[in-house]
Amino acid sequence: MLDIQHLSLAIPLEGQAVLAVSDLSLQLQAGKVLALVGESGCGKSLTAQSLLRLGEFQGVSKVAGDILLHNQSLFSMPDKQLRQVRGGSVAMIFQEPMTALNPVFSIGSQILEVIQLHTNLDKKEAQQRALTLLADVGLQNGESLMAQYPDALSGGMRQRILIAMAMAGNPAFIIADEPTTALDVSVQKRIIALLRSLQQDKGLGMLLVTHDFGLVAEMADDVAVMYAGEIIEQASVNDIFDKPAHPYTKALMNCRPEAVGQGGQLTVIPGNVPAPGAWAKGCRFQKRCEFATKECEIHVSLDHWREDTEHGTHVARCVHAQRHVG
Amino acid sequence: MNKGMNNMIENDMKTRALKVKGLRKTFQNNGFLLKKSKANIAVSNMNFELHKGKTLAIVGESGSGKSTTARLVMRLLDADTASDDSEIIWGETSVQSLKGKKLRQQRKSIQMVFQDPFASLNPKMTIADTVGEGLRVHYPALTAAQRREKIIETLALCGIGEEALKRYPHQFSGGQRQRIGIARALIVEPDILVLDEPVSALDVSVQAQILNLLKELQNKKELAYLFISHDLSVVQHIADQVLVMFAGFVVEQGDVHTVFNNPQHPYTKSLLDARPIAHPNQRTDIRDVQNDEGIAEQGCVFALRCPFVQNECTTFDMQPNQNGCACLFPLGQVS
Repeated sequence: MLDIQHLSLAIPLEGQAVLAVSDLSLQLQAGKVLALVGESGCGKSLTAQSLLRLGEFQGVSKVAGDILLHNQSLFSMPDKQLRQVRGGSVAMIFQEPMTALNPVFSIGSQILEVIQLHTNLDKKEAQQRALTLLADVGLQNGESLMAQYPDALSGGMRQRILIAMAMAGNPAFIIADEPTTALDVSVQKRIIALLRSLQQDKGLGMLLVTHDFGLVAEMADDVAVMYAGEIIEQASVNDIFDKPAHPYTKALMNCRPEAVGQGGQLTVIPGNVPAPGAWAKGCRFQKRCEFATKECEIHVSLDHWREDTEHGTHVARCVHAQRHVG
Repeated sequence: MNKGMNNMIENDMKTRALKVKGLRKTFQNNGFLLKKSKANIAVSNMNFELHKGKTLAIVGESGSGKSTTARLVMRLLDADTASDDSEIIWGETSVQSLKGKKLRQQRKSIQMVFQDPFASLNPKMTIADTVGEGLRVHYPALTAAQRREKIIETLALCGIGEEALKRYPHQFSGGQRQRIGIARALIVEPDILVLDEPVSALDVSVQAQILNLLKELQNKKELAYLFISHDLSVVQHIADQVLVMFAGFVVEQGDVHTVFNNPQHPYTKSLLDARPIAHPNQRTDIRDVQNDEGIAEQGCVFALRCPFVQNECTTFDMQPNQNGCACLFPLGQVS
C-alpha cells in the first residue's frame, strides 16, 4: 500500500514558503485505481509528484505528514533506495508524450536505460525484455521501433512507449498524470483500454490525476476531488457520479458540455481557484459557492458528512452536504 | 427560375459570411536528404458556406488538415490555384487573388483566436497595446482617446475590467487571457471569427465560461464562427454545421444533429464511438486493438482503418454523395 498520511506541502512563492497542499491523506491500494480530480492550481500534480519526492527539485518542501510505501517512509529513505523506488516500485506516466522522451536518444536506448537501472539483466536479456515490454503495450514491430527517434512517432505511439518504460521496473504502483489529455480522441480510447488492461492484468495500484470526468468514468474505482490544496469529497466512482455531495464536485460535473443539450447555457463556476496563501479561513470554496452561508466560515473535516453505501464510504467536507447530495 | 427562388438566393447572399469553394492545398516535401520530392495533400477539394450568426465546426484528428484549412481561409497560407474554379469569399468579396494592401484592408472582416492563451499574447505588450493594435492598423483615424474608449468597451464585452489596460499577460489566468485574445479579435468589428481550438487548453470550468461568452457574443453581434476542435462534445454544444476531416479530405459534412445522431461515414462513427463515456456504468470491456494508423495512398484514404472496407474502396475517388458523405458504403439510416 502507498499511504499518504496528513501530508502538507509548501511551495516557494515570492521568497516565502506558502502552503499548497494541506493535511491530505490518501491510500493507494494494489489493483485499484484512485482518481484525483480538480481544476488546475488545486494541488493535484503537486500531490502526485510528492509520491516520488519529485517536487523537491522545484523547491517544494514537506511541512508535515508522511508517505509510507509498504510501511516505510519515503522521507526517511536513503537516496540510493529512493532512486530504486522511482521508476521501480512506483512509476510515473507523464502528460506530454511529446516532451517526456529525450529527442536525441533512440527509443531503444531510452527503454534499455530504464531496464538496466532496475534489473540485473545483461545486454541481451535486456534487449529481449524491451521487446516484450513493447509488445505488451501493443507495439509489435519492436526491433525497428527501437532504432527510431521520438520525432518519427505519433503522439499515441510515444505514449505507448512511455507506458512501456513505466512498466520496465515491474512497478506495484503507477502514477498517471493526465495520461490522455494531449492525445486525439480516437487514440485516447485505445490508451485508456491499454492502461486498464495492464492495470488489471498486473494488479497495479494506480493514481490517476485528471480533470476529465470522462476518463474518471472509464477507469477509476474511487475518486478524490481536490480543491485549494485539500480533498473536499471522496467516494466510489459510482457514488461520485450518482450523488455528488459537495457543491464543487457538482459544479465541476455540470460545466461539461455533455451536461446540457445543444446550445444551452453551460453551468459556470465563477472566478478561479484561489492561489496558495489566499485560501479562505473556513470552507475554501465558499467565495465561489452559490450555497455559501455563515456556517461555511468554519473549516470542517473531510468526514463532516459521511454515508456508508454499498460501494463504500462517501465523505464530503461541506456543512450543507446533506442538502446537496443526489 | 421563379421569383421566390431568386429571393431565396438573394437572402442567402445577404446572410452569407464566408464561402469556400474547391479549396486545395498541397505541400511539396523537398526534404534536403530526400531525393524524391513528394506532394502531401493537406486539404483537398473543400466546399462550404458559413452564415451570419452561425457556427461551422471542423473536426478531425491531428494532422487531418484542420488548422491548415483555418490558415487558408484566413489567407495566411496560399491555396493551390491549379483549379481555376476555387474561391474564398469573405462577405461579398472574393479574396483568393487579393494581395498586399488590398488584402490587408479586407482582413478586418475576418479575425482569429488561437489555442494557447499563454503563447498567443506578447508578454512584453500591455493589454491595452495588444488589444488596441488592430485599431491602429484598421482605424488609423481614431484619436488616442477614442481608441482607449473602444478598447475598454471591447474588453468589457469580454468580461475584462478597465484595470487590465496597463497590465501584462502574465498577470492573468488562462481563462482571462483567452478573453483578452477574443477582445483583440473583436475590436476591429469582424464578421467572421476563426477559432482554432479556443478552449482545449483550458480547464473544464473555465472552458464553460469561454463557451458561454462566445455564444453570447455571437448572439449580440451576429458573428459567424469557424470553430476548429477535436472535442466532439464541445462541437455538439456550440456548432450548427460540422465538417469531418480525415487526411485532408472532408469525409462527411452537414447539420450537427444529423451527423452526430446518424453518422454516415465509418470514420465519423469511429470518432463518435471514441467519445469519453458519461457514467461509469457505460463501461464496456474494450480491449486495446492496435489497428493500422496509416493513410491509404490510393482510393479511400480511410481504407486501412475502416472496419467495413471492400475491394471497390481502393479505387474510390473520395467524391461526396448528396448527403455530403465521402464513402462508397455509407452506414445508412439508424433507427
